[in-house]
Amino acid sequence: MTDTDLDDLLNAWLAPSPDESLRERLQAGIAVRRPRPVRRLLTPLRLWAMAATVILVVLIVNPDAFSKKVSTYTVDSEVTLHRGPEGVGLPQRVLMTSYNDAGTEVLRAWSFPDQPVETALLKTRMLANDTRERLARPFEKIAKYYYIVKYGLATPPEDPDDAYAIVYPNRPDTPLLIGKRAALVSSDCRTIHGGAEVIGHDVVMNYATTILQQRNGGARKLTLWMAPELSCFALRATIHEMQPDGSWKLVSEKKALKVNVNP
Amino acid sequence: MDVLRLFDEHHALLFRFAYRLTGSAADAEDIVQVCFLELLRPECTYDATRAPIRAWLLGTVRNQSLKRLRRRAEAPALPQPAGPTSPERETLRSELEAAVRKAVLTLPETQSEVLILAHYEQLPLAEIADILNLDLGAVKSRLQRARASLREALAEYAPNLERKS
Repeated sequence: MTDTDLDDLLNAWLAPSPDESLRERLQAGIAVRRPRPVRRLLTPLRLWAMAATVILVVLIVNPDAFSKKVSTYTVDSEVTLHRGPEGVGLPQRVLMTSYNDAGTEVLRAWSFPDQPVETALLKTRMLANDTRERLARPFEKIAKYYYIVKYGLATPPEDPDDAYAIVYPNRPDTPLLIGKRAALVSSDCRTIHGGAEVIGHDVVMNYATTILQQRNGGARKLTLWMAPELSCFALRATIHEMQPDGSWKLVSEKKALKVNVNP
Repeated sequence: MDVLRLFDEHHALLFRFAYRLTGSAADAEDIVQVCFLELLRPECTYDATRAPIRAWLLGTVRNQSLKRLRRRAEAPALPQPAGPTSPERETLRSELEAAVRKAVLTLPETQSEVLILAHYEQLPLAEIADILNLDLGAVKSRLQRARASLREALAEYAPNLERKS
């Protein structure tokens, strides 16, 4: 049998044509299997629901996220940290931009100049801590009310967290509470808690300041040059620590570099 | 991916290939449908940068056909011819067609797939090698063995030979 003979024989086996309905059946199969287009998932109603959920989560995590606080000024400051030999390699300077909101300092921006890695690490850690605290806050409130209702435990009324004035005299992660905001502002920066005393008056960056000094346990003293005109913003702040020989050593000093009015 | 456009371009070839591998038009239609729906699956393995679509489709048809053949082999019944089976009603041509069909279907799968693509679909051997993941030499030798087997099986139908019946 030649190749041609074999080819002729093989050609005797004809294949039928597929049924005309095959295309329609495939179309039906495609309609069933086709993944739902994204636009159908994102209906207007679902988009609104998603946006509302995001806003709710943001408000829980950060209740002040959408409150727009307008400051009439900001102050650029530089902090010098006088570290001993054990502080080699650690940040020695901090740059801050901040303002006072009714007696309490609000940080707008900060950095360790020339140390981007340390800056990023600390910012990440601060953000994580802040987020954790904000997330825990609603549960703490629920727990408090639960005990009040169940055991009749009434806790003494507490001042809200924002009743206290805060300053950042050295680092962005170590705010210090210095007393009640209302009392501080209404007394032209003469009153902070903890036995502070007015030790003088000075002019810093053309602003009249009240110099307040507070000793913590005798081994540390905080001195603030607070400007009544700037809602008691500390245009200068120093921290001294007592040495074994009884002398005072300057460990940090914050100085205003520039006051930006209507930033 | 426009599956219907691909269907229009390739379904006839795929159907014939599946039909000749399985011997069943119904199975061939199912296989062609499954093959195109496979393209819509998120885990579809088709990669346009690695192989032309025709090779991928033929490979899928082949795999689906072999699956069905194996499933069928586990069942006792053998595939039935598509046409009439009564000897009284069979013409000479349909008898010859049935004989060729039987001869091709009884070839080992490795030979029948090469023969179908080479003889019936007239694909170049290099493309067959791509579709079946073989080297060219293997394709040639399988084709030769397939043709030798068919020569023997169909000897009695050779035009220049006497019938042995």
